[in-house]
Order: sequence, then C-alpha cells, then structure tokens
Amino acid sequence: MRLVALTLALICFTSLVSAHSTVTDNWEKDLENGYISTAPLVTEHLVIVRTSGTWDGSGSPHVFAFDFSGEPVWQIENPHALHNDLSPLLLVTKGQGCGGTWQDMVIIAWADGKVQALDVATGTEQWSAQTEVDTWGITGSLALDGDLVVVPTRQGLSTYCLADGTLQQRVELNQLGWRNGVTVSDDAYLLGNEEGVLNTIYRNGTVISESIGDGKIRHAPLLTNAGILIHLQTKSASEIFINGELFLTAGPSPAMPVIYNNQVYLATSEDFIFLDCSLECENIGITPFHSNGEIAIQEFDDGEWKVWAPQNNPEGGWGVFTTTEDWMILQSPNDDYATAAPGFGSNGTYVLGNDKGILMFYTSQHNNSVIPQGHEDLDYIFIITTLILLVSILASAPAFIFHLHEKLLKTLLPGVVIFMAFNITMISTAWSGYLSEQIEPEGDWDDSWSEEWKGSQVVVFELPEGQIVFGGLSGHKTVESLTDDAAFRVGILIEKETFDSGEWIKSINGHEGAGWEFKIDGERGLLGISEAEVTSDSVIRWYPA
Amino acid sequence: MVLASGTHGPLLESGWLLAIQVVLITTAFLLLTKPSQNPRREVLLLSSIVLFTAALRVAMEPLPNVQPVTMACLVAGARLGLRRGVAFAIMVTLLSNMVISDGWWTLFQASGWAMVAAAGAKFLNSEGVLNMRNLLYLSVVTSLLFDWWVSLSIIDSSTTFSDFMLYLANGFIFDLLHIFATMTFAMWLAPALSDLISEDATLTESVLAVGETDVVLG
Repeated sequence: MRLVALTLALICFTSLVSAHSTVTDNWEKDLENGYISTAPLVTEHLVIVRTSGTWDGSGSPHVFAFDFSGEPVWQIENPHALHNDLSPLLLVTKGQGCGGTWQDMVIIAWADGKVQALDVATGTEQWSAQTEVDTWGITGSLALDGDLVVVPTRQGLSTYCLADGTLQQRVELNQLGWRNGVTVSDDAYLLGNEEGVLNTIYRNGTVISESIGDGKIRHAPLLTNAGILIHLQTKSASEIFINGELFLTAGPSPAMPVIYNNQVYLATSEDFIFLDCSLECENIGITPFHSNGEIAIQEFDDGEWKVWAPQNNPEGGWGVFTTTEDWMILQSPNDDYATAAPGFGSNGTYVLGNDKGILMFYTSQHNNSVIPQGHEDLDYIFIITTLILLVSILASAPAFIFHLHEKLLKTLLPGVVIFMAFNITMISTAWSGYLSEQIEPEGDWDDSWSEEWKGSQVVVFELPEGQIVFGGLSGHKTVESLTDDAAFRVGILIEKETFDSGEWIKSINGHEGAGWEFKIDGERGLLGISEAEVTSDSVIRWYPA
Repeated sequence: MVLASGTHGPLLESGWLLAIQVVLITTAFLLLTKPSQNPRREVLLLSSIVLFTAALRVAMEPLPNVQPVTMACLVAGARLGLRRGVAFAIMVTLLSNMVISDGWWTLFQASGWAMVAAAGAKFLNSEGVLNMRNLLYLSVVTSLLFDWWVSLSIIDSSTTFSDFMLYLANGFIFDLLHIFATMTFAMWLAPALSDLISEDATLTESVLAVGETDVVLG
C-alpha cells in the first residue's frame, strides 16, 4: 500500500515538474554571435537557433539549444565557418533506413561546406560530411528524401544516409549557388543557382538544365499545380516564372517564397504577393511590404493559417498576413533588420530572431504590440492640398474667362504654392528620379573588391584611418537604409541630425569634420539620405566634405 | 534651391563666420550713413520692415524655398532706393539667419538679395508707382537668379561643372516654388508694403516741409 502511495506521489511530482517545464514565461537572449538569419526550430522541449557570425569576423557562428524557460541546454561553435551561415536548420525525426537507424536529429549545413547531424537532445554529433567550398560552402536549404538528406552544395548536390552520413549521390553542376535551396519532387531534385539556371537532377544522376532568365535563383523552387515556380532575382527587380514562362514582374531582392494549401506567398523589397495556384496560378493580391528573407506559415488547429514574413528594414518587426486586406505588423522590443522567419511551437508559442542576434521566445498569452494594416494610410496632406489647388483653379476660372490676368494670378497662385510647398518631397523626388534616368552614372566599382559583390549593394566609408568597404547587401531602396545596414554590419557608428529637409549624417565613427557627403555610383548625392534612391547594384561612397 | 536637401555648403569656423557678419554689418552701416533729414523716422521705418520681413521669413521657413524676402527686397529697392534697399536685404538676411541657420551661405544670400533689391531700385522705381507687371516679371527672374547665385555656395574643390549643373537641375522644382511664392507675395503683399513705405515717406516729406518753413521763418 505504502509502495503504491509512494509511486502515485512520485508520478504526481513528476507530472508537476513536467507541467512546470512546459508552462513558461516569455524570454529573450542576446546571442552576441552575429545575426539570426534563419528561423529558429521549436521542438517538443527545445528552441534551437543558429547565428551567422558577424561580417567583420568578430563573432563566430554558433548553434544554440535552449529549453522553454530559456536555459541553455547545449551549444556548438564552428570557428572555421565562413560568413553567411544562413542555411536553415533541418529537424529530422527518428527512423530507420539507409545506413541503419537514427534518433531525432538536427542537421546543420555550414558555410565552410560541412554537414553535421546532431542529436537533438544533447547536441552530440552523430555524423558529419564535407562538401566543396568556393569562397563559401552551403547556404541553401536542405531537404529530406525518405531516408536521405539532400544537400545543395556550392556547386552541386549531395545526398547522405540519415543514419550514418554515407554519401549516396553526388552531382557536380556548372554554376555556383547562393541560398540555393533544394526541392524534392517525385522523381528528381530541383535546384537553382546564381546564373538563373534551374537544374533538375534525377535520382539516376541525369541532369537537365534550363535557363530561366538573366538573374539568380536564391530559393528552393516551388512545386505548384501550375508547374515549377521560380522567383528570379534580376538586376533591379525580380521576375516570377511558372514552368519557365514569365508570370509576373515584381520588386527587387525577392524573399524565399513558400506554398501552402496551393497558396503561394512571395515578397520583395517592395511588396508581399499572394498567388492562388489551385489550378493555374492567379495573382490575388499585392500588399506593400519589405521582406527579403524567409517566409513561414503558422498553422492553427482549426485548419486556418497565417503567413509570417520578417520586415527587412530598420523598423523591423514581422508582417503577419491573413489576406491581402487583413494583415498586421508585429513588433518586438528589439526590432531591427530581420530576415529569419519565426519558429512556431505547439500551443501558439513562437520564437523570433533578428539581425541584432536577439532571440525572443513568446507564449501565445503574450501580446506583442501590433500595428493593424490592410489599407494604405491616407495621405491627408496630399488630399487637402490637392483640394485647395482645385478650388483655386475653379475660383480663378472666371478671371481666366474674362481675361482678368491679375485676378487670375491672385487666385490661382496661392493654391499652386500651397500644393507645391506641402508636396515638395514627392515632386522633387519624382523629378530627381526622372533626371537620374536621363543620366548614365559613371560607376564606382573597384576591381580589387570581391567578385561576389558584383550586382549587389556596396558601401564605402572613407574614414581618416582608412577606407572601409562592405558589399553583398541587397534590398535597400535609399542611401539611408543602405548606409545604416553597412555601418551596422561593420560596426561603424553613424550619428545623424534631423533637419526640416530630412536626416543628414553628422558623424561617422565619431568623425564629424566639416560634414559628410556621399556619391551614388560616382555621382554626387543631391537629395537627403532618406530620399536619395539606390538600385540593387549601387555603390555608395561616403567621404568627408 | 537654397533649402533643397542634399549637401551642406562648407561649414565655417566661428572666426570666419564672425568675419562674414562683420563685413555684412559694416556694409549695411556704410550704406545707411547717408545724411538724412529725419533719421529717427527713417530708422524706425527701416527697422520695422526689416523686423517684419525677417519674422515672416522665419515663419515661412518650414515651407521649403518659400521666400517672402525676395518680394520684400524688390519693393524695398523700389521704394527706399538702392542704398537703403541693399542695406535692408543685408539686415533681413543677417537677422533671419540668426534664427534659421548661419553659415557660408549667409554671404551668398545677403549678396543675392542685395542684388534683388538693386534690381527693384533699377526697374521698379518709376514715378513713385509700383509697376505690378514689372514686379511680376522681376519676381520670376530674380527668384531664379537668386537661387542659382546661392547655389554657388555648395561649390568646393571636389565639385565638377557637371556636378553643379546636375545640382541646379535637381533644384529646379525648388526654384519653381520660389518663383510662384514670390509672385504670390507680389500679388497679395507687395501693394500694401509699397503703400506703407510710400505713406511713411510722404509723412516724412510733410514733416520736413514744416521744418523748412520754420527755418525760413526763423
């Protein structure tokens, strides 16, 4: 009897402890090892997240595992990994097949070409493999194919047995890849690359290459009912192809699209795009939004879902979309540039990470501040001043008819001045844009820079202690946004001053001097930093006045 | 153009800034040290319209390149004559820039508006009546030229000719706004301002006439 009571008490105590470990508070961690560029994984008991290291090399890439109370469980570091460690972590549930059996694992692909399978619970390495490196190694998303893990490597594709990492298939390709995620279809693997070529790799090793267009494929191709969907990144915009046919032209620096229930979600630096691919793909809506990284689906028990996309600008936050008309921006206390999708757990928990390297864990009870969206804010100033202009035109009409020139001017001019004065930013930006189109910039490319930066956005800081250059950026539309991003990544402090005419740079890394000026592709900047626009391959050069 | 956002003109050390202000104040002082028959009244008139115009400029500062000073300089030049018109332009610039922002460009603005006042004195001062048609024409020409003149302040050793031309081209919308705003002020405010100055001048003359009679009688 006593034994039974003791057993019951033990069971109760265990369940209490177990219950305690699942009921958690919100928490956040500054991982201090660079950016979180890919979604955290949420397992039954753990949050697993990877950091990419910093661009200036001061931090090394890590993978951390925390329990739901935020306590570290295990962590690993890859001091040899190169920058750009942003291949999504892949969770594998236990099973058996090629090579034997395996436990629950997380598979990590590194920018130094290494593929590593770790035990989820302990972080112990189960097996590892090495793939080729050309400047960097793996940056795309892996995929599972039965008992194999399919790895899109820098210049090819490898498959490994999940149980022991035995290489099963290796295919060399002609093109280099970057964020070249792989998709597994019934009979082949689909893989894009930096030359806009879609490779279809059959399991027997046959490769069929199809040039989609003049651009880069930086996501895993999507299989839709209408065919294979590719969001091709072009020089200054992007193009959506379905089965090799151009379907839609969109904004620059596309995000990695996802498909769910035949709905395809895509994003660029300008828009969030909704396609319905139930039969043929149909564009069902476009919403202004800036996202260049991952997009994720949050599923609910009732079969509904929401689409999350990180906002990749200084305001940060995550767009949470239900429909084109119904969406909001979820803000966190640490908002910054973000490209990682959230990780979702059961019971509505979600985990966010951003470029500051801050990991945030929230339970469903927690209400982050949200900004409802769904309709564009009305520009009341524009509307009112336009009305004033129209009224002044109407009021001056009689004077015009009766040739009363003085009265005509007296009535018309105030309306014109009010309209122009209050909309001068819009008008002058349009005018400068028109002028820029007429002028071919001389360019500011330096041949000593990395070839990888070609076609991307580059920022040069001509500091008194020497020149600092940072390239490979994308998705920025203004000098301010691009400068802020580059400065953040190289650890340069930017101090700004706000004037009526906009924001100006006061000092760079503490150097104030006689002020700072900038050039865009060799041409002196003529607008304020928040108005001056850049293209997808602009070079911004900051130099002392 | 002058308020177009984009690049700073060169920033000056405080010593240079002081030197510019001294030069401008001295110039204004020299222009005003002309013998006057009723200096107190003249000082009062000039001070009040300088204060009014400077205050109007400061009030209008949030509206980019809406410059009431251009119209005021044209009228002041026409009604007060070349010397006082130029002095007026310099004083308004110095006073308003103390509130808005002072720098290398103050020299260009003061000299620019001084030239506008000179143009007003030269082309508008006919038979004591403000010629509205000419005022409107001058509003267009002087607003544009003033902007181009002040734009010279951004030139430094790194500025090429094409840079400068591009700068002017980019600022065209701001130039246009300056032109329209000056025309608006000319239509709505210039007659009143002109009458105010003329009325005061008439009063001054009548006071002077009494004085002269007194002298004759004495």
